[in-house]
Amino acid sequence: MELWVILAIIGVIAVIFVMLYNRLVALRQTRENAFSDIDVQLKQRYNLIPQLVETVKGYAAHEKQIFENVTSARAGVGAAKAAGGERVAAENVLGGALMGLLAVAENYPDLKADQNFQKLMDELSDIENKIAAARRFFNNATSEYNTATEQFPAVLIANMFNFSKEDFFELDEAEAALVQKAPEVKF
Amino acid sequence: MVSTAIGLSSHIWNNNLRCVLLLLIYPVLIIGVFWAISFALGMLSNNNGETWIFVDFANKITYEFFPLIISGVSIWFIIAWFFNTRMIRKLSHSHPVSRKEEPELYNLLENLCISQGVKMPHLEIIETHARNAFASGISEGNFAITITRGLMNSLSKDELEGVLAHELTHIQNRDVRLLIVCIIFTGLFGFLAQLAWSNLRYSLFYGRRRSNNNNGSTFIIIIVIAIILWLGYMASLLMRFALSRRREYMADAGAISMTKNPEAMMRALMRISGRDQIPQTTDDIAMMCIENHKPFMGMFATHPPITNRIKAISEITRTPIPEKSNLAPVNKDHSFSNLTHKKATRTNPWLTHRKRK
Repeated sequence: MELWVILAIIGVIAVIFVMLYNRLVALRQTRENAFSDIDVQLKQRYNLIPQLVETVKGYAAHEKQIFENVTSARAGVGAAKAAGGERVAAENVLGGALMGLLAVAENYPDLKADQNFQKLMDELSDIENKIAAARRFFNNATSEYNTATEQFPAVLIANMFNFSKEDFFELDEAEAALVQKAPEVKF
Repeated sequence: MVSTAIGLSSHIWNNNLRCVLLLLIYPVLIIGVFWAISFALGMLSNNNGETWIFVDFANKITYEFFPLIISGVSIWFIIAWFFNTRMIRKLSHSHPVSRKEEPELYNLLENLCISQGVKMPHLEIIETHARNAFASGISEGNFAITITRGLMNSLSKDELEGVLAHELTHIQNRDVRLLIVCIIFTGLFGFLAQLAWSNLRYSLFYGRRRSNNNNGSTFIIIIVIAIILWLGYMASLLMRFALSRRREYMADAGAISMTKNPEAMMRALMRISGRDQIPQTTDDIAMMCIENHKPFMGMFATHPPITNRIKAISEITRTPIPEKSNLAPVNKDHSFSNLTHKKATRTNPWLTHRKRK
C-alpha cells in the first residue's frame, strides 16, 4: 500500500517535471521564431540600402564619409550572422548610419524631390514600422520566457538544463530617433 | 491585468468547449426533427390507432434512416467547412483585396499581425457606404477580415487600426469559429425549411389543376413537415443565443491591448454607431459584425449597446470619452473599386457610385 502511495507521488512529480520542461522549451522556441520575424524585416532593410546609397550619391557624391559609414555598418551586419547581442549591436550601428544618411539628404532639396528617393523612403519607413511591430512581439516573448525561467518550480529545471535568461531587442537612442523621423507612409 | 488575462484564456477555453457542444447538439436536434416528422406522417397516414403505434413507427424509421441522416449532416458540414469562405463572400457581396490594391489597409493589418506573431488573415472589402466590419473563417488558412468601403473612407488611420485589432482579437479568441459552426448548422435547417416551403407552393399551384383525389392529404403532410422544420429552425436560432455577448467586450479589450490606443477605439465605435446596416446581407452576417444595432427577430440584441461599450472602454482604461462634436471629419478619397463596380451594381442597385451608361 505504502509503496503505491510513494509510486503515485513520484509519478505526479515526474508529470509536473515534464510539463514544466516542455513549457520552457516551447517558450524558448517562440522567442526564436519571433526573432526570425524581425530577421525577415532586417534583411529587407539590408537589401534596400545599396539602392538608397546610389540614389543619394547621384545628388551628393562628395559626402564620402557618410557613405563609408553606411557601407561599413552594412558589412558589419553581414558579418554578424548569429542571433545574439552582437547582431543586435550591428543592426543598431546600421540604424545610426542610416540616420546620418537621411540627415544629409535633408540638405539637398533636389534629392528630396526625387521620385525614386521618395519611393525608397516610403519603403524604408514601412520596413521600420514592421521592425518595430516584430520587435514588440519578440520582446513580449522574451519577457514571458525570462519570467518562466525564474518562477519557483521551473527555476530548478531551468538551472538544470541551462535555460538562461535572454536579452531583449532594444533600440539605442539613435535608431529610436530614426523611427520617429521616418516619414508617414503616403499613398 | 492578471484577472483579464485569466478571463481571456477561460473565454477561449469556453469557446472551444461550446464549439464541441454545438457540434454534438445539432445532430441530436436534427434527429429529433426527423423523428417528429415521421411521427406526424404516421399519424396522418393512419387516423385510427393508438399513440404508441406511431411512436414505435417513428422510432423504427428514425433508426433505419439514422446512418443516412448522420452522413447527410456530415457531408453538409464538410462542404461548408471547405466552402465557408466562398459562402460568406457570396452572402456579404465582398471581394478579396491584395497589398497592391489597398496598401494602407493591408499594411495596418500586417503590422498588427507581426506585433502579435500571428499569420495574417485574408482581407476583404464590401463596396457599400455602410460602416461595419467582421471576421470569418474556421481554420488558420481561411481566416478573413472583411470591412466595408464606407468604414475605410470615414475612419482615420488609428481608428481603422482599432477596428482591425478588434476583428483580429475575434479570430484569436476563436469567436469566429464558433459563430461559423453555428451558421453552418442553422443554414442547414433554413435550407430544408425553404425546400419544404417551395414544395408547398408548388403543390398549391398544381393542386388547382389536378383532380382532388389525394391532393388534400399531401398538402397537409407538406404543411406539417414545413411547420416542424420551421420549429427546428427556430430552435437552432435560439441556440445561438447561448453564445455569449461578452465576446464584443472581450474583443474591444483585446484590441486596445494590441494598439494601446483606447481613444481611437472609442472614436471608431462612435463613427460606426447608427451607420452599421449593410444593405442586402443576412442576419448571419449582421451577427458577426463589429456592431449590429438591429435586434434579431425583433427581440434579441446580438450586440451590447455601443454606448455601453464606449463606457466600458473609458472606465477600464481611465480615458475620457471623446466629444462627439470633436470628431474631425476624415477626408479621404477612396473611390469604390472598379473591380467590383460591375458586380456591386448588379447586386446592389442603391450604390451611389454607379457607373453611368
